[in-house]
Amino acid sequence: MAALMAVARSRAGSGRRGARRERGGKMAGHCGAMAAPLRQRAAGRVRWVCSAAAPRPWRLFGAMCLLRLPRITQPLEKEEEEMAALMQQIELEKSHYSDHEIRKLEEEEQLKRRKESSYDEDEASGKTVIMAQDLEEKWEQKFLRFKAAPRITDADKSNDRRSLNRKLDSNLMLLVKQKIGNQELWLLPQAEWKPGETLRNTAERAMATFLGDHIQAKTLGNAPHGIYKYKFPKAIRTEDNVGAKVFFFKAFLQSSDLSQAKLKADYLWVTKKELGDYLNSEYLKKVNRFLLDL
Amino acid sequence: MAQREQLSLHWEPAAVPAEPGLGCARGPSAHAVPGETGAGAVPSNPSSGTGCPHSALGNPPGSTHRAALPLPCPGQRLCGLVAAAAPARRSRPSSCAESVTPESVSPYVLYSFSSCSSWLPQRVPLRGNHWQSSLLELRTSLPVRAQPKKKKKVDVKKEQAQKERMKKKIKKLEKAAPELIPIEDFITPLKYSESNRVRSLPALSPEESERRVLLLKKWCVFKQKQDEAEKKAIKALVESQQEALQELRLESEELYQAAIRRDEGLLPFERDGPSYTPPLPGYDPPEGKCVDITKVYTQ
Repeated sequence: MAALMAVARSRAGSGRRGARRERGGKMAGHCGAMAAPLRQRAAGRVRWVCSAAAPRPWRLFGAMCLLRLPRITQPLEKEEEEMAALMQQIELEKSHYSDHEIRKLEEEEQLKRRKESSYDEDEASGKTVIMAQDLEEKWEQKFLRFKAAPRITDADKSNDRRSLNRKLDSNLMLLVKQKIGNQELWLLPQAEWKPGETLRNTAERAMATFLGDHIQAKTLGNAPHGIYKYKFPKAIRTEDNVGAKVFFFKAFLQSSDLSQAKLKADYLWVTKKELGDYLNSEYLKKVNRFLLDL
Repeated sequence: MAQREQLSLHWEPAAVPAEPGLGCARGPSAHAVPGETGAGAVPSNPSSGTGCPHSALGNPPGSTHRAALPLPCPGQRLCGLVAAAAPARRSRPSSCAESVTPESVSPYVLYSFSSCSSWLPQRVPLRGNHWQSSLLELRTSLPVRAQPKKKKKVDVKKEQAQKERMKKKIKKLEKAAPELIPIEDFITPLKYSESNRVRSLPALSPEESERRVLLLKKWCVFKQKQDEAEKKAIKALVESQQEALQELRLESEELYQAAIRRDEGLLPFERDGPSYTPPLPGYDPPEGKCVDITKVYTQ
């Protein structure tokens, strides 16, 4: 098993499409490094495979999962609501009267005394006193007059999947239609790796090709979050071109204004649950692993 | 200390009682004004005044000191004074027997000879000392016999001692534990502990308390499930990333090294959290000024 792994690693490691010659030396070293702990067991075999076996290179792609973070809070679940109510009740029970409440109580007593004893109101105080109750009513009126923006937007109602204003309480991901081979597929925007750039740069380039240069997104680190490996159909498969590895990166969309973005291809902003409508199952499985349930 | 300086200054010329003859003018070297701090006297008389051991008499510093003081070695003191008063002019004489050259004696020294107690204008030249042969020889042969170096050493030492004392005091103050800053949130103002403030609510019924207990238990379970789900999600995230990094390593070591490098620009990551309703487009908040009245304490 270990020996097999050593062989597999050396084969994969020594493959680099288009750059094998110049990095032959490095790859040999790489093989050596990878197989070092197993050298004792498969010493001769490793080296032999490295130099003589046909490499099975994989094409590298960098894909970007661009997330629009939620703008409003998610609705509370039943237990959460009950608990919130209970907490408020307990807080009320444990509290003392505030100044406003004391004022209110005193004024109520005064009113009661006036009604009972029924003396002239002019005697009590020459000026008109604003009661605490009046203040409360005034505040209530002011609050009712204010109209907040609705939590369920128009885009929600029309189910316009191209707009960013939909589903404000969950993450939205960008999906674009790309041509892979002969097929048009819905994918996370991806681009092929070019030598001389890191995979993160590849992913950012992919994002820029679909959304324009002035996109404000914060990539979360240099490391990929997920990988999707697939082999090309037998018709296209060659010795040098076995399949592709798509490395996924995650980024948060900072600016909510995408009016400048000129999307060339078909695009969609979808939540994690709606991904299943567009992506094929294997791809979806890999993508779901690195997406949090929101 | 400073006033003692002046004392000694004053005592020395007091060997010659009531010496108005030397001129009443008070030079900067001898601030005969009682009660004045020695700061003014020090610049031109760096080590003067304090050195006279004999002048440590119990008389209070002030204008009341009179000339009637026994001075066993008036010449010495005078020498010292003169020497001290004119440091810039010449080097200190090594022996007290050295005679003072006329031009080397600072006129200010002579001003100091005049008794501080006498504020009267002194125009009558008087013979300052018994060894002064003639009145005209005022500014000439004043024998300087004192040991100026000794005096200066003692002066320097006293000043150093003074400085050390001050430093020690400062250190003591610094060592004392700093006053604790009161946490305003934890101090309940007294007016809120009055009895009229206590809320009067009906007591809890047993059904209500039962319901509450059951609800708390349900909440525990709910939160536990939520926490487990979060941990599972994080684990899946980490696994997925590890797998991706492993595959990348198989592909190319270079890209792998670039991937595991730390991203400096990522942290600190700031983001405004979600609100209950989305922001109103075109909302004009009311104008107002926010005055911050938090009390700031310094230790």
